Amino acid sequence: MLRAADQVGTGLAGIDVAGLSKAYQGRHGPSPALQDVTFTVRAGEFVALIGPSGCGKTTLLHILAGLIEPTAGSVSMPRRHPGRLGTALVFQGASTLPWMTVLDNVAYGLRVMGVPARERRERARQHLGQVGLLASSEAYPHQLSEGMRQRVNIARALATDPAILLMDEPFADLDEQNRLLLQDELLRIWQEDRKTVLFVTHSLDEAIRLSDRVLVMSASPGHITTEVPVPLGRPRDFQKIRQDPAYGALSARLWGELREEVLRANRS
Amino acid sequence: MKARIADRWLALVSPLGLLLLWEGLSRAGLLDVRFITPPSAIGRTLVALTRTGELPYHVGVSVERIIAGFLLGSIPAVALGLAMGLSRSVRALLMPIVAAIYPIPKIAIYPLIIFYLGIGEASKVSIVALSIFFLVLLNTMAGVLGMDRTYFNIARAYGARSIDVFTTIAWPGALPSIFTGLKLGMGFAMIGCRNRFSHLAIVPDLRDRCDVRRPAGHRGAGMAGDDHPGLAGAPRHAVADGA
Repeated sequence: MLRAADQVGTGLAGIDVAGLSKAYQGRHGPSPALQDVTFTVRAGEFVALIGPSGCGKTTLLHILAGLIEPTAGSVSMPRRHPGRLGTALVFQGASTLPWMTVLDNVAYGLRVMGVPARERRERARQHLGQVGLLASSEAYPHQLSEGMRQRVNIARALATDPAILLMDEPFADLDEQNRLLLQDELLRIWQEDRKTVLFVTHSLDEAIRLSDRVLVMSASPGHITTEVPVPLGRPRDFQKIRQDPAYGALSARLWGELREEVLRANRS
Repeated sequence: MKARIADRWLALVSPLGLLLLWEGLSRAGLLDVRFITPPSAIGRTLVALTRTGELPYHVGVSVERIIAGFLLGSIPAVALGLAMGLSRSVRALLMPIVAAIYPIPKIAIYPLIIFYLGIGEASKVSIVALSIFFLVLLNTMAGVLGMDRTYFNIARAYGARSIDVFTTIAWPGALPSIFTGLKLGMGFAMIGCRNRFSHLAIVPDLRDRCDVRRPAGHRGAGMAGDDHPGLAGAPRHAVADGA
């Protein structure tokens, strides 16, 4: 396993996680969710994290987003600056605020950060344009499709101009076709400013299509078992990479790593 | 759109139908008009009381009391309900008291309120406030507790302060439940609002005023000399008061 100290380039915009553990207090003593998780994400890198259901992926992201405290270990992440977040999290599933318009949803992060109204509307519009939703800025989330709502969530995170973007299975609720569209859009946006991204997914295809490197997590209590680099060029054309022999080999290798863990997760 | 208009007409059918049935049964002699006043007689009295200005005056007084009591009861209830929904400690601290006081019939507290606040406006507004306070409080709290936890996580992930969570998440998110509480509360506010208007609305009293045996417009015997007696000064209303 790679130790954090071995990594280079973990400057301001990287993630450095060392020996991270989390145990929830259960009725029969503590139940471990994460055990000694160690990994690094370099600045500007797109890293995918896959693992069986319930292995603690969301717990890990929530620790990184500052929502929960780890039991042990250390996390080194960029700090927030005025008008700029260190990390922004795109939540799993329905996470638009239903009582706000699309524009207010996108501006929400900026609002609680204390960005002045005029500036936050400006920035929100810009990011709505980036995800192609400018025309729906006065609509409410229930008037949008699931795919459009997920674009709103991504725009909300991007509007805070985070050094690091954390994404928790953002496309899990979408149908296959819309998922492909949104993956494409995400890569296009990412290509523009190359933010550091940690992308949690349970889809092997999604991990390979999007990322530079895939971290594989074990069954609960989760730890990183392997990391697999994705040797596919950028910008990526999904049509082409499907035909690339490296794609099939990568997919087979990841499944080989993951299969045992999924079986273990199902047994426990 | 057409269906919606049709629904509106349907909403008129049941009350109008009931009134027609009522009137018809009265005219057919199946309902004793001495006990159940027919709608036509009530209507005539309504017109008469409106002409004299008595009814509008009392309606005005009642509406004022309801609005005052409503604001006095619901504003602290919403604030406290949000706090109880958001904070486990506030909930633990206050829930036993709420659970103990809520089921007490408000009418049982009424003598105490009169004792301390007198029989004037203050006591009447207080009883309205008190009768809606717990409904709004409990509904608001339930509304916050029933919200998807993700909304709170979103706020916290963006570094929202407690006040932001309060105003941007808990309050708008719990609004549907708050309105349920307010709607329920409105019904109780009407019951709590005891005054001349409610006496007018209570059937035995109104029957006095609707003289079914005399021509319309003729003031009934019960009306004579009834010159706005105070709450305690009208023995004839005693039964209605206790209702």
